[in-house]
Amino acid sequence: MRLLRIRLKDFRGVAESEVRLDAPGVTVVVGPNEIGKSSLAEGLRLVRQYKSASSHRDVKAVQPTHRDVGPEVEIEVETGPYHFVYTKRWLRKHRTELTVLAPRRQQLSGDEAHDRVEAMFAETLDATLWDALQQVQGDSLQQPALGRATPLQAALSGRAGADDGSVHAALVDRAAAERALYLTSTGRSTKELADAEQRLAEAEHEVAQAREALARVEADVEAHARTVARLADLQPRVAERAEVLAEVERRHQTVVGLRRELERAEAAVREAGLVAADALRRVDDRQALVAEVAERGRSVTALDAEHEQVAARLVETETLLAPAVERRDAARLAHADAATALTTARRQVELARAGAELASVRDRVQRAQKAADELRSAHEAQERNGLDAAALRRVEQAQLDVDSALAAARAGAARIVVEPLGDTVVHLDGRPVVRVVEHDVIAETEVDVPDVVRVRVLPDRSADEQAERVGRARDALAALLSRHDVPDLVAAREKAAEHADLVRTADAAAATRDLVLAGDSLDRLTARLTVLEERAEAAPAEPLEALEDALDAAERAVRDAERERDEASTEHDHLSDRVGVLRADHARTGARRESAHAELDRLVTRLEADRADQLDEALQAAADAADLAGDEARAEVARVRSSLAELGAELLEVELENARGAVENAGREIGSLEAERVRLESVLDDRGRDGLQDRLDAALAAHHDAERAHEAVRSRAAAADLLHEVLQRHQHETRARYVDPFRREVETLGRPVFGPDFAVEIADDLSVESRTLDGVTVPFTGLSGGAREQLGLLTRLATARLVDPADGAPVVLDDSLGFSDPVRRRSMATVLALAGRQAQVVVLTCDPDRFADLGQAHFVTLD
Amino acid sequence: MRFVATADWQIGMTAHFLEAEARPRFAQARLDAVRATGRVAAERGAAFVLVCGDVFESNQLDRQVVGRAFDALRDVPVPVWLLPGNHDPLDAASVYRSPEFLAGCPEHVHVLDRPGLHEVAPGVEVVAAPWFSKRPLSDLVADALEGLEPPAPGTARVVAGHGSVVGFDRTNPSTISEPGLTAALDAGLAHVAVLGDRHSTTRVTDRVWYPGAPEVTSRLEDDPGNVLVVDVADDGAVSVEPVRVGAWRFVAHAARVDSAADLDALERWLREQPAKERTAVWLSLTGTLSVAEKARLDAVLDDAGSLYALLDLWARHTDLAVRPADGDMDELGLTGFAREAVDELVARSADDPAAQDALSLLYRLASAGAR
Repeated sequence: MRLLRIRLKDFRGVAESEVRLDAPGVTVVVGPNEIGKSSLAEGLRLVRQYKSASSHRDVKAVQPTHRDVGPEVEIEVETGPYHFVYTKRWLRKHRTELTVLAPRRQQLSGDEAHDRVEAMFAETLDATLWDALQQVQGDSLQQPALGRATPLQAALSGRAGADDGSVHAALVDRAAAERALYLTSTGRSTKELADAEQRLAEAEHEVAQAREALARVEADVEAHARTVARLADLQPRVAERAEVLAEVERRHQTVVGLRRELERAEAAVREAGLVAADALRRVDDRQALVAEVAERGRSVTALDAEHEQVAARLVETETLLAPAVERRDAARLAHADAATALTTARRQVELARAGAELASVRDRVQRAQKAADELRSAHEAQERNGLDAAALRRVEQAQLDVDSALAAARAGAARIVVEPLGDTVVHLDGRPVVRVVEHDVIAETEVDVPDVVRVRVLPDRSADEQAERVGRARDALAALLSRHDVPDLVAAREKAAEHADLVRTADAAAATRDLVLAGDSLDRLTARLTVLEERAEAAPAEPLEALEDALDAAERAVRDAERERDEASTEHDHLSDRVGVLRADHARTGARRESAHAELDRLVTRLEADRADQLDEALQAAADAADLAGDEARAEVARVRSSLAELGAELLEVELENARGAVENAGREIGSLEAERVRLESVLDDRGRDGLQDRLDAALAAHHDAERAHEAVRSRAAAADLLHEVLQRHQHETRARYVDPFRREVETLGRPVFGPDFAVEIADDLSVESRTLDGVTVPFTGLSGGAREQLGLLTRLATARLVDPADGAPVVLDDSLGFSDPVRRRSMATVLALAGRQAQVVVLTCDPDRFADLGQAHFVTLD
Repeated sequence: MRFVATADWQIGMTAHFLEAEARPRFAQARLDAVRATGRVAAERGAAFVLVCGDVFESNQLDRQVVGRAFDALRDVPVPVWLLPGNHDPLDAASVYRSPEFLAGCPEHVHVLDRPGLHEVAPGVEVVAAPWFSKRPLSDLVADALEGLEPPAPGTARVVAGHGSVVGFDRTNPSTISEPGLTAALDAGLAHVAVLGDRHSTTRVTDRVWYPGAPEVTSRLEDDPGNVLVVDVADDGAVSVEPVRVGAWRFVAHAARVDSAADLDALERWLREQPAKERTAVWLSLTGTLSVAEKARLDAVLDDAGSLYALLDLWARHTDLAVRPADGDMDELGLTGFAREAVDELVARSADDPAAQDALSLLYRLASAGAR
């Protein structure tokens, strides 16, 4: 479809304006303002949508204000084989007129004209494509709905190699609806199919149950047959087994008799054994008693001997004890006498020794008294002298201070030299000068030639300080000297030497005194002298040596008496202990002897009583008889045992058990078989009434029906599923095939705008999914407004280029590129021009500058 | 001496493969066959009816079937001798020992309940070989004949047995030895042998016969639906005549369908069959049909199916390919991917029934869309 011309009259602000449009080519229609420029697009819409008699508010909206006129639109269109002019006026003097110019000239008006135009459009123009290519103001950011535009599909399918691009989406929808009757989107069964499956499963279950019930009956029938057969088999054997049992039992009776004999014989053996043991015990007891009496007799004899021996030793020891007592008492008296004599001798010696010591003590007191006096006088002289070594060091230090002060004063002082030249006496500080004198001026100095001249030499200020220091030192020295009452240092040294001599004298006197006292004090020594002087008066006449000899003899006598006393005591104690021990022994052996005698008497009495009862020989005879009886009983046991062994008694037990068991088992088995037979017959009798075969037949029939029903639904479901899957897959594949050429076209157009690496992803419905630029892929919805607008425009232009011009529709862009920046807008102009070579492009704008770069375009203005 | 020989009544048998409404009719037909046998006996002047086993389908039947069987047997005007077979053996669960049977048994009905000789009519003896379990371990017929002397002169003797003879089943220990049986007949121990178990009327030798089931039981049977009228002449000569009593037919019909004409022929065949309500048909169809023709075939089968006791496409023997004819899909205006889908389904339909169904569905959906 190509729009050749459009004329607006009394349409919004447009009084009358006619625009011719290039086809193919780009026409830029410049409107007076925002509303004005859209008038053309609105006119196109209204002329198709509303009949001239309509007073729809969209129609009223385009009526010029303040003027009572009807808006009018006229279009000249080429579409398919048709070429016509179509005019409509609404509201005032409304009319519809159609002039068909080709293929046959025709003139129509009113609704007939309207219907004819719509019929021509319906025949030649795809409504979806028409809508998609209109970019109305305000929706330039939306993607056009190209997916169902048939001419585009046809163009793309043609490129993809198919001969026709008809779309059968509705068919796919119907197939999906059919499939949904049976299957959910995830492939699960819906109710109808699930019910059929459920019924089939139930029927299968019932068949299985019925078969199982029948099989149980079959099993019971077979079990019954086996039971009956077994019973028939078993009955004759029972009698055989009973006979065997009877025979075995007869033999068993014999064995039981022998067993009883054996028991009796064994009891006789046990009895004989007991009798023999008793007889033997009696013989042993008697022998033991005889032996004990003999043993006890020997023991009593030995005890008697021991007792007598102890008694003899006791008498002997008691005889020794009396002289020992006498000796001990005598020794004690002798020792006391010797001790008294020793005391007396010691007193005599002490008194004699006090006389001898008196002279020596007296001499020591006198010498100590003298040394003490010398010491006191030396101490008094030291007090008087007072110049000890420390005092001398202080004087010597004062003298050293004076000398050093004087030397310091002299070192800094002026020096005068006085030389008397004639006879006239010259005085220096009052003293006459004989020959040349040198003098340090420490203090004020006068050189005086009486009557002639007096020269006063004054030291400088520092010399004053020196002189003062010399004075202080001299005063200190003088004070020390006067305290010790000496004129100078030399005298002081002499006096100090005297003091040292006095110290030595005192030391010597002290040494003498200490020597004489020898650690004692003078006072104690003096007291001792007084005691000695008193004792000296009582001293005996004998000489000391004699007295000392007497003392030694007394001491020896005491030591001898002590030794005698100790020895006597020891001997006495020893004998006394022995007597005690022997007396205890004597008592003990006496008691033992007594008890042994009593026991012996008791045993002898008992032996005599026993023998009175039974003699030793009679006991032995009884024992021998019991042994003989035992041997006979054992022989009987052996005989019975060998009889039993001959009869095979042990195996006979087993044999008997076996025979009994066999009879019992057969009886038990017959009993249980009979019970089983009765049970099975009762069960089968019951079951027989159940009609299990009928139940199975009914179940099989139900299963058969369920299977057919299920198969019908299942095959319908499978068919619908398969059809839907195949259709959908081919639809998808086909779309994928035509997505490619569309993408190539969009990318071809887009590269001038976005650059050589521009790429897009296109969805099945031909919408742009994402854009890739500089290797970065961004989904459509994430793009800027400008980019989305540009992509929307590109897809429309690509569509216009791809669609067969005969099937095509004009691309109408209302106020496009409002979002785009100038550089992009310029490149978009290139693309528009490119599209304009094949397709009809109409751009509506109120700002022609936006499209200034469109050199190829035809610019027209709506007045 | 004339009697009617029959076997394998299988009373109580149902046929689940039939249409539900046909099943009771089929069950009733087995009792009707008993009455028909009685009519043959009356018409031909038979002395008695001998039923060689499998009188009942099973021992495990609802006992009311016994009552219905007796009701039918009362319509038989001559004595009836029943031989227990493998389906109704004389085991612990035997229907013949049930209180219902013992209490209700008509006087002229007898059970051959022990092996050996039974005098069934004056001058007529039956050597019976009844079954006592489902799996006997020996040739029961040979056992029954063992130790027999030939019959007294003027006495006709008939062997009544049940089971397959050697040649039909060699693995089964209870198989009846055909040479042994023939030798016994040759030795004059009996004049004729009637056997049950094989449902098709079968002549084993001139004197050894399977009467077959009087009413069909299975699609596999060659010639069911007959009883035998047996004559034993005074000189011992035997003549046997099968007489039809069955009312039901089980038919396997094979046809090639490649065109509308073939479909016409099939439709005609189905229309012309007699007694459709007592007829079960298994169709084996082979050929290639267009989608439209397949739709017509489905319609034909649907229409006829309601008339028959069973009309079944025998899947194992049916090989139908559905290919869209040139006009089939074109008239629907399918193009583009839909056309590709059709092509794929056509290619797959050769060996995928679901693809055929999918094509039919597509045809239906697309037609609906086109309208």
